[in-house]
Amino acid sequence: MDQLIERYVYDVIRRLPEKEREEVKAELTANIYDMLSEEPGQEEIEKVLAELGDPAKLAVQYSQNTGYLISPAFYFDYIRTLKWIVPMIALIVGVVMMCVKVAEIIGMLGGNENTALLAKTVTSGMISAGIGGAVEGAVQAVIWVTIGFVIAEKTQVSKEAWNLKKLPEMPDVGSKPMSIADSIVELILPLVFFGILILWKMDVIGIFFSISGGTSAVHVLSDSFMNRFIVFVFVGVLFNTVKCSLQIYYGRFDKTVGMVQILDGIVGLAMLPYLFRANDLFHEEFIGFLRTKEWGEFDILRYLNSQNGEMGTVTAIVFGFFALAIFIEIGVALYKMIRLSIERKEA
Amino acid sequence: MSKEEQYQSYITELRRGSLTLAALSCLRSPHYGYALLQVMQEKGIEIEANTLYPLLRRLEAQGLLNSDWDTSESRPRKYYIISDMGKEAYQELRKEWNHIHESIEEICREEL
Repeated sequence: MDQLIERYVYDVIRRLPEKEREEVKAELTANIYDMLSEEPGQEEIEKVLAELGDPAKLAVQYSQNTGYLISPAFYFDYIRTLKWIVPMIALIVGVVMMCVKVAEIIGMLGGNENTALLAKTVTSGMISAGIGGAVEGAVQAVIWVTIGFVIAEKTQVSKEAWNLKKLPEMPDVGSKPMSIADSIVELILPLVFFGILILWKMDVIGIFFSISGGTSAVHVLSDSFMNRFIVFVFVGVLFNTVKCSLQIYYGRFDKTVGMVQILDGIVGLAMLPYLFRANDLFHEEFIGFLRTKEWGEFDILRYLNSQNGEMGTVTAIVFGFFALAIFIEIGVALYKMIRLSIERKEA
Repeated sequence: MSKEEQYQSYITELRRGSLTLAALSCLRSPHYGYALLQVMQEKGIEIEANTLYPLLRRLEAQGLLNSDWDTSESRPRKYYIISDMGKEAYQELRKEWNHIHESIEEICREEL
């Protein structure tokens, strides 16, 4: 029968830090016996213990700490951070794992001419790797964000008292809130494009032309150009990911978003000469293929190749398009930022 | 939450603030834990054992109470008594209690 009291006290103290246990055990036990008569019956003991109530709740009363992993002070920021970091990381890891998996499969099945088998294996491998990567990325993101906030909680990072300087800027007065769906699509499309690009490089997908009776994939862009292009797109994808994450975070256009976009544009422009530096836009196979066709009077080859180290006309046109697109991007960002600051002054 | 539960939570809030003052006041003379509970309840203080015991421990940890074990009887019993720091705190709390009491009475008396 005494066991009941011992077990009760034990259930309370096991939830307390070690150094508290002995003392609380002694106190609580003494108090409980005080509440009982000399030779307490089972019923009496049960009644007193019921009065004391749930050991878990009693332990909470006894414990020194607040009992929160992440207290209300930090909770809101914690959830908000999770909301934008987890999808972003899950997405990035998912896509990266997809590409890695594809490269792996190519490595294993390389040389196998059966494109149907290749495509099937690649597709199924891609999807499972992508999903697995996304899930793992999400889990990791949650873990590390949580750890970060728990540390902030324990060390009570913001000991500085709140003051007016800490107020964030108003979200843009007048600019429309961006739907999350839009931003997510904006985030994903370049990633998909990048994925396709990699696949193209890996010869998993390709542009088919019919050459002397059979169809085969002809490399349109030269290997060296392809490599540089992949680097170029990768940088762009990075900027885009950051920009779209910021958009999701802010919920609308903010000047940080604009600045990232402009930076992206500037870097892009700076990379253009690197991208187009040699006149190697097109692959020999493609040029060779074009040679096999009769073009009559319109000699397209002349426009592709360069004479005396000048950029071929087509290369120049492509260069022009890229530059123009980037200028437009920068222009739009600038316009939005200017309009934003005007609206803010008026508000 | 039902209406009764809602009111009960406000009432509990109101009571909770006064417990420390009540305990300190009683402990101007030494008491065992359970005996103190009975004394307070006799005086009309609504308090449970699972609130008082941890409260006593906390007040002692904060230096407002002193404690000792009475080993004179067959089983050891812990008793508490107010410390010097506790006496100061008690005076402060008592002043504040009177102040609050006056303010509330004045507010409630006001013709609306």
